[in-house]
Amino acid sequence: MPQSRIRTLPALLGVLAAIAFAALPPAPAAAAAPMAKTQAPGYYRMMLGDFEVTVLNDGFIDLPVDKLLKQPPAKTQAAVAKQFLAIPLETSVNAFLVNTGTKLVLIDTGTGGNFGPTAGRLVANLQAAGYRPEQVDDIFITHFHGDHLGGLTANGQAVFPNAVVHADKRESGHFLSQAAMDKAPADSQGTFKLAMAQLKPYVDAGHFQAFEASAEIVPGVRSWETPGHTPGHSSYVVQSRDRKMIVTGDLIHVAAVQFDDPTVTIDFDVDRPAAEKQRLAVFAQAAREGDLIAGAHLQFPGLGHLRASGKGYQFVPVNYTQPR
Amino acid sequence: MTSPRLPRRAVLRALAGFAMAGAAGGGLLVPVPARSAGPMARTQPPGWYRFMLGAFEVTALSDGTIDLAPEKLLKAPVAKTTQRLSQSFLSTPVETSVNGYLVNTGARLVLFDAGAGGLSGATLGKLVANLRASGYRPEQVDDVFVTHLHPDHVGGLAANGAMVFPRATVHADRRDADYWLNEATLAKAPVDAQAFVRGAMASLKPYVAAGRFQSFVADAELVPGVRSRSSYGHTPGHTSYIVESRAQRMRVIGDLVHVGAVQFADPTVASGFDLDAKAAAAARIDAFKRIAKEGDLVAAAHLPFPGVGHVRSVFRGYEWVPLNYTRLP
Repeated sequence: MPQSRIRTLPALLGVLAAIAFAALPPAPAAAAAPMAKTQAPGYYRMMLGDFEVTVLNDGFIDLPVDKLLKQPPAKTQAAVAKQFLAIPLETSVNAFLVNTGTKLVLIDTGTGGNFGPTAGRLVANLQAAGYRPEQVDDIFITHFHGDHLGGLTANGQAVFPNAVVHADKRESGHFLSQAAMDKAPADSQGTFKLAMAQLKPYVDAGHFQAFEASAEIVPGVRSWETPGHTPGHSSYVVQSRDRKMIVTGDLIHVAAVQFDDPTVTIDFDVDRPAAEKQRLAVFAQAAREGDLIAGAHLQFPGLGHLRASGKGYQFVPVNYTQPR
Repeated sequence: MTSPRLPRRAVLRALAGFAMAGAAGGGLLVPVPARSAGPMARTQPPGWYRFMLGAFEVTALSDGTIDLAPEKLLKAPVAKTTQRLSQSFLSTPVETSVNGYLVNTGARLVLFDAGAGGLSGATLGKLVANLRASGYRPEQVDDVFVTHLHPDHVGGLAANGAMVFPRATVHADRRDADYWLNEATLAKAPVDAQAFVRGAMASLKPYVAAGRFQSFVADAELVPGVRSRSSYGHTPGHTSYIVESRAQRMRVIGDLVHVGAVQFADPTVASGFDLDAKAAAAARIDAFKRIAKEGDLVAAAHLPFPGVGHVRSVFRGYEWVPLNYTRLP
């Protein structure tokens, strides 16, 4: 076939060129080891007073943050570039496992694969971290979005068969209500349906408990009502001895923007002024008291302190430590 | 160049003392008997982290952590150092990472620094275990580039007198080789500092004996995608390495920075480990300026693991921006 003959000469030249280039390096290339192409298990461990905290990474979600944040896109693009990042922003999804010594507590559960293949690794990382799902005693959900409760149930079965699930009554009252779902816009019906399906095995087994506003449900773990992002969004304060960690759920999505300017809200917030107010209140306390922040969408492991800076804050990630 | 000095006895003693105090005072928490929670796992995941740099695969390897007392180590007023630490929510002693970097260029497997091996105590010496956990074997390493010949960078090269990387060639700047692999340096060294010299000699010996130690002169193209850039001062031949693939650049900066909480805000602050404090500070200032301007990725031996990030110029000094945690492509 004529076509193949026409291709032969350039192809041959290409091969010769490749050989010539390959001969350029001074040191002959040894049989290079194949690239490993794997990542270390996504968990990180730290002591908080007497409690053992294990951050579990569920994976990542790519976010078009310039479109989502409620400020001019150019401003977001500049802030992201300043942090040497790009849009879409590869955003961590984290959950937090706390062993208080008497209870094994999980705060949020990741996506369970409901947000595509880049997330859904929470249980694998929990197992890599040395625990089993059936050891979990209590699960606290910050809010009923799919990347926080999506890991509760798989194929209709409870992933954490011995756990009691806790959430703010306003959250369950909203997302588990058929009437509320009927009133909701069409594009948020999926959120309701997923929440109902994820909670079902726990509700059926009597393993779901709603709490009212701010309450201490397990010694050392209390809820802090921070409604705004969703009607019953809760933060959780974990405290042992004099050390405190605030699990902030979705009070912050984009570190590159919302620490510098905590007044910037995001498309996902159902009540933006309230969401902003809660973020400001929690950040102010964390900075004042030196509390640790544990963020579901801060880059894994999502742990750090806040330093007041101008009109906003600087996030200071925790130092890397090893158990001794 | 001013003539290099060995670390002062007082500094070494202070460091040793604080390391001991840290071991006794920190970390030992009384375990609470578990009821239904099960025992605490109390382990950290293997210390490796992988990302791509152009077509190169980079694996940061933790050698472990060691306690340092920055207020003793740094040549700055104690109160100033303590204040800067507390602004970063740290207190002395600071648990300080020791990191090495493994780069697979596709043609060669290259390691930058080898960790402490058995030279610096039980909290270090984990680099090879982490290299294995990350999916490689020491005998696959083709080249080891050392930033300088201090024990926490070369101690991992040898174990019981034998090569840990039996197929690798070890590379270092000639000035560092001439200084550390030299009986005259040993003879002049104060007793406390002799261990540093002996450690360097013992770590390099099997490679020298096998003809697999190569020194280079200053700025050199070493293997495709890797070149050296002198940053003398911390030691006579302290060297940074520039790794480049498809216009993405990473600078392996060795000991240009020890205490991020202080030396980014004020790069003029030298450390007691610097043999020539003035030259070391000048090298740091020059490197930060270039790095901030060019937006290069930085890999630093003693910044919190994985020790990889960018440097941003701010009103006064610089800020460290850790690399985002990402999936592999």
